Amino acid sequence: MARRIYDQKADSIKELIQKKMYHHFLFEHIESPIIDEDRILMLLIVMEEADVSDKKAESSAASAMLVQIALDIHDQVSKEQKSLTERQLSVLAGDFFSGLYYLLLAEIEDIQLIRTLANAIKKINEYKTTVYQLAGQDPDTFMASFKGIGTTVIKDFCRHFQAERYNPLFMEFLFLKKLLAEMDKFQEGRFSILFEGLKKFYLPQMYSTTPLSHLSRRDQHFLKEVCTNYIDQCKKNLKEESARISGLPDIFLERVEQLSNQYKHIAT
Amino acid sequence: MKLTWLYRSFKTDLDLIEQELERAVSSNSELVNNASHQLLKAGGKRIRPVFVLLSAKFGEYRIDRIKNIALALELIHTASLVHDDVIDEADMRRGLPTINYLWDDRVAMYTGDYILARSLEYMTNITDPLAHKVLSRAIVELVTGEIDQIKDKYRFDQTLRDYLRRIKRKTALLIAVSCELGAIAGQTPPDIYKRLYKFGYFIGMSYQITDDILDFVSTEEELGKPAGDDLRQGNITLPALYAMRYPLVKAEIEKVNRDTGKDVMSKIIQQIIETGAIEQSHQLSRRYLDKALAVLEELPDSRAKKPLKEIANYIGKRKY
Repeated sequence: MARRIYDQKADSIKELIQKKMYHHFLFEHIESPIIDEDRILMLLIVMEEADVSDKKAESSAASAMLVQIALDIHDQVSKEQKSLTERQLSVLAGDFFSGLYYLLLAEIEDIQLIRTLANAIKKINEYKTTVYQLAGQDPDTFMASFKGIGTTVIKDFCRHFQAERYNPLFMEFLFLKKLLAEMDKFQEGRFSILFEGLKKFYLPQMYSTTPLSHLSRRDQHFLKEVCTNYIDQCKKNLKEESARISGLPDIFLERVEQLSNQYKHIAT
Repeated sequence: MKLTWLYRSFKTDLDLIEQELERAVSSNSELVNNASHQLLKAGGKRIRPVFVLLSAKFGEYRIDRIKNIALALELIHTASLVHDDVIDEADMRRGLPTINYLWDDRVAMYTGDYILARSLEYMTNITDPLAHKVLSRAIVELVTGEIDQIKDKYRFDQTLRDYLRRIKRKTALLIAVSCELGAIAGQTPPDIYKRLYKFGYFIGMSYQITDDILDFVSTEEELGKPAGDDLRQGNITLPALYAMRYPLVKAEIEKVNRDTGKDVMSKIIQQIIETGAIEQSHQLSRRYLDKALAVLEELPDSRAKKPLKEIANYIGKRKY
């Protein structure tokens, strides 16, 4: 598919999502959710291989995006939000977007996809509690749950449409994007659940006694180094996966390139 | 008369639903598991599954199919309560601590989302697209209603129509849809499931009005929260709306805010009672109940009619 067609289809899905989720009062009080265009692109690549009508493809992709947006907005619910109204409406916005995913798929009568996405939501919330509690026996279990939070919707969507060959590639892409975002948060002194987890597993003596921001420069650098190792591994996997899959659209390969160049290994 | 006694004729099926609910909220995550079971421990009237089961009896009653709808609706209701407790910052529900109180808001959010996903999984055991269209529209409308409820908080100039639309979305809709979906799962013809929707809608309206009355006339012990708490939270319910037809009472009600103390609230409640607003609210609740009973009469003979009538009358007379 030509880049122009991808852009057109992506715009159309974005428009559909925005139209469906618009609620005047809601958006007066909460920040407009971010619609991740990389995810739309992945969904479009999957749908290109599926033998379904354009309308069905659009609704399927839009519903998967709504699920992700709903899940993400519920992660923002906290006592730190600006006002009680904002917190209350963040709860309801997530519920509203979840309802819209169900409605969209009910209208096109795709009961199997409703089930696939419900199952993904279920697993993601289990991963979320594991990560939130910083549970897990070792860093690998913790990282697997952390990775699962951001990748399960796309992974299960690929499986649903028998496009599993994209799974390793898309998962590494999304994981890398998330790792980079967490690194940025940590460097800017904002709360990072990933770095909390890394502290627990790699600096256990500091786990319960020292907040991340109070760690010595040496310890902070050490945690960044650990995260960078994950980033480097992820970049390597991503490079291998994008070389392995033939026929990937240029628009996606460019995104892989851009993302991979976003962060260089920190000096030790 | 207790609800358990009213449920006697289909106790076996309700026990099955109860067991399945336990299974439904089991999770690989120990935390989600504990939090969800904490919710089930608090019980509940299971009014939605009851309406699903009874409505299905107007058609082909197959518990293996119908139970999916009953479970889905109870789980949706449960998930919405978990999120409502975050919204209301509630510490207690049905005499037990809430998930957000025992753990925190984040755990409550994840548990609520997990339970909602489980409900949709059960629903997908139903292959009739109509059932999904009905339920998905209802869920969206229900949440929209909750958003409007926040928008309408402390808005003292709202109309009776605003109130009725709000309680429809808050309560009546899910009961109406429980009846409708039970009948759809029982493969009844459209005129039957549409009537059962109406029956559920009228019952739900009556139920919520009674709930709103009880908030003013019950004791703190019965309610598990101070009397007049809805008004203190900014929710303008029917007794307050009727009482505000009197300018002096209206002026007092308009002063209510989150920090209004118990003594002031007691005086305001007394003023509301003296306007006759409670009695008027009872009359409207009764009118909805009568409409529900009239719809029931129009339905064909079924062994579900008697228990539905008993439950309707129980709802009309309940004291807490």
